[in-house]
Amino acid sequence: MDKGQTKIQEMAFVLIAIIIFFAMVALVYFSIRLSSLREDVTIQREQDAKETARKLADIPEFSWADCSNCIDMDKVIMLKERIGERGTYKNFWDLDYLAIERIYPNRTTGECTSSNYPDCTTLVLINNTNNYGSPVSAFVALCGFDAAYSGIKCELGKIYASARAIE
Amino acid sequence: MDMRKIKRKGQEEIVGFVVIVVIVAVVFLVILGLYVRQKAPTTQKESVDVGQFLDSAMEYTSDCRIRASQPYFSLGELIRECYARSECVDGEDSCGVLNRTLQEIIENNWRYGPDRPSKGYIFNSTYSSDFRTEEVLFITKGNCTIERIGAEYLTPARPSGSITSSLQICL
Repeated sequence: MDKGQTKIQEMAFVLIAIIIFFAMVALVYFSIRLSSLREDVTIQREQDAKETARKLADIPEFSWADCSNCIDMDKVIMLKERIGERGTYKNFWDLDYLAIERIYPNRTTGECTSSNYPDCTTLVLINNTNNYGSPVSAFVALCGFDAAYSGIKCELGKIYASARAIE
Repeated sequence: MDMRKIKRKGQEEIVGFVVIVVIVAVVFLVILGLYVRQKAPTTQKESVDVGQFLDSAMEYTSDCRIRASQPYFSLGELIRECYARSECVDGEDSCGVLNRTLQEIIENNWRYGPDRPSKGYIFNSTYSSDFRTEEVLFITKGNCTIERIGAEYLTPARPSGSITSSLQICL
């Protein structure tokens, strides 16, 4: 092999080494990018699920007329009684679990019924299965007539929903 | 060929290769630096959870009303009254009621501390119009670094302006 051929061979080796190096750099870059994309997709799915849960507050059976994403607690109490007595609406929304929690102001914990309301925190409307996983939750305002305020009072609450469609 | 000449040639090529590797490493570092810099502003992310919390909290009925015949203000309305420096019917300052209620409601839901996921929070309400900008309320608690999640809430305010309220939860 003469000198010129050796030189060309060396050059070829260097070029191959550079290409391999750049390929490795690109591989590292894309793997980082892909992992952050996966993270973004998970966050996006969680946010979509939260938005879906919150949309439940706007359905006519729950909604408070004066603001969006506000729940009429008097309506919900009545609805709970109907579901309990007659089973109406039990399978209406195709949900495994649907509940409303009063978060602020703090109160003694307990399941809400028409007899103990408003001294309660949780209101379970649908509980079709004990294996509903971890429900998606969203902040909502819970409004209703309050005798102490002699008018309307809105509080802070959360709506919890669980179904295969919104997970 | 002389043995010394061959050795020198080999050394030159090794130096050349090292130079190429160094150049490539520098380019890689520059790209990495740019990537990290681009990432920095996104540490302050919009959060659906904080947004929903802020929207709902603004509907919360406060303990303040201006006249006994009027209904109590929601927190969203109370921010506007605080900007107007109104006084509640019981004599308490509307900004005082707003400050107290907001702190209670935020700290009840976003408990903060060094061992908790939330390290602190910043609440800021600012009036802005074409002519001026004025701070209405500013609350900061805990230890806030650059990593935050947050959301904004807009309230129309007189005269011809708006009040932007933002809540940032520090992570």
